[in-house]
Amino acid sequence: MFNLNMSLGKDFWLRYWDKIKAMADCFDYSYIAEFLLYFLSFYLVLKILKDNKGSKGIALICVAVFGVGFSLTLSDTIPSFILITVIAIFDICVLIMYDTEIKRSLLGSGNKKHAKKDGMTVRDIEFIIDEIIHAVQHMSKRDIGALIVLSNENLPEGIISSGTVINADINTAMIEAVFYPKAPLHDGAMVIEGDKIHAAGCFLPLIQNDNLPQEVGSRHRAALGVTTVASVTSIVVSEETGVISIIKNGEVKKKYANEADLKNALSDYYWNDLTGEGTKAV
Amino acid sequence: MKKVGKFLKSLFLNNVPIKLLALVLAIATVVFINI
Repeated sequence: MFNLNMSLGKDFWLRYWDKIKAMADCFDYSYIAEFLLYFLSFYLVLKILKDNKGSKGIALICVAVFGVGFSLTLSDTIPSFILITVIAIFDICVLIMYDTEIKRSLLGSGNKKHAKKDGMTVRDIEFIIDEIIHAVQHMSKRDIGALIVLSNENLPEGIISSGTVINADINTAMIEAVFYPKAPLHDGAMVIEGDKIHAAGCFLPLIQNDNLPQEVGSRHRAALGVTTVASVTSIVVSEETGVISIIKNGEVKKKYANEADLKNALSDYYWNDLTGEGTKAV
Repeated sequence: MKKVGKFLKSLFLNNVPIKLLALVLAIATVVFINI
């Protein structure tokens, strides 16, 4: 039981300080090991929460640790493993809640840069961007469904191997030929890596999110799914409406993308994602 | 209340470095458990 008679005034804090001094007197190296373990555990959990806008979770952990901690010091009967249990529960909850984000970082699909752009000139890149935009707009006008993934060699190998490796040059005709409704590879995703169409007909993981409206089709779900597990950008052309959408980081960045939005997304991919932020090809 | 909520949100999300917060929590935990 809590010692309710104990004053939280000066005496209490003096006694508290004496306890800390007594603890320091019988210092043990196991404290360092304990500290490192807790630091690592807190750091990983807080980083996951901060990266995923989990500010409430961060606040909750702080309140829980200090709340349970002070309860431990005020009471003689509460065992100290309660605090360890609380921390463990928080860790497990975060692991379960953010499993896809953790999976993405463990798959090594972060901001991996590659040197595939060596040898590509500014004119080459502008040509490729124009070709992709023309193809996407043309398919949009004709209501041809398409799913293009702008990858940075960071897609899980299983996704590439589920399709057919093409390694073709990027041009409007080639992109449209792949997505032509009777073409064998049209029912899958096209993976673009730098200046090449790396693969087509690839099957992507669908996002498992019950909050999505029913009208979100499998092509959009696949685009959301792949951008959740890997740091890639997806361009989707709806087969029903011809609407072009840009999807990144598991979110629809532009639901009704126009030419300028496409150009921005592609420029961002070619200038930032591939070469490193702010770097431009020569 | 709204202002306090906003302040806490900005404090925990933007301003406190995660490493510092993890350090404080780790030290506090070691102290609470061993005291």
